[in-house]
Amino acid sequence: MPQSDVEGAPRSGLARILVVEDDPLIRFAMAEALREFGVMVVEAASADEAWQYLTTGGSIDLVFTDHRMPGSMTGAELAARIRRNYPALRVVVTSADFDDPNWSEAVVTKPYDLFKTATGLIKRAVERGQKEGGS
Amino acid sequence: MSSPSPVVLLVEGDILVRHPLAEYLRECGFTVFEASNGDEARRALATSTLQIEVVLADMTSEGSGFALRRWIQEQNHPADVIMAGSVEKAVDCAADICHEGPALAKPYEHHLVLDHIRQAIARRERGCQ
Repeated sequence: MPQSDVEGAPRSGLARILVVEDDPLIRFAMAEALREFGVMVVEAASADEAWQYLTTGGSIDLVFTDHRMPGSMTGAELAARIRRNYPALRVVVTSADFDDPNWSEAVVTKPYDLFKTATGLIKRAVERGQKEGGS
Repeated sequence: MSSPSPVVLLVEGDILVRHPLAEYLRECGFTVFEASNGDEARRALATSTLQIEVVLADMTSEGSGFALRRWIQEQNHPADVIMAGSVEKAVDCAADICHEGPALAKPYEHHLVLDHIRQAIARRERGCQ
């Protein structure tokens, strides 16, 4: 399905999205949905992997992370660390049962609609990329 | 409607190796399913509706290597299994797969993939950001 054929789809340009998800089937489905729109996708199986990718110079516009994952960090902890170290980088958390009352950012509730979620993520990533390019 | 591209299951525990290898194979025309360990690979092989034709597995990730190959044989899964004991071998194997892949020409020389991986690992070892 070429990106130009999808009605209502944002123009992804060279958006770069890091998908952090420990379920390989969900990760693959979301990554492939984003690739259908022309997004450059990096797949990480844990928050630790994602952090390793970012801290070795990986160039990303947006991180889409599951909350509950094995490893040393949850998705929310990864998001907090990213906010401290890479304040311009956007992060969206997804979870089936996220209930942190102090969390003020958007959360995508699982199960989510692949198409709607992918297009929403691309819009955010492109906005960030445009700001970066214009600054 | 075009026919689906052949599927490679890439099993590699290091994201700094897995991502550039997967991107290289995608540039060669494959659909690439990325697994970070043997458990994820088994899940993909057992439950994915994708027709996985080739499994390129590292030898060091948890549950990968010979254990994964034995499991695939026990399941009578038709996928070809290629095992790589080092990053250099994995890149060579990816280049071989690419050579026989659906794309007419390789997107770039595979030594560039290896250079990219080595640079990323060097940055990690230096603790650079």
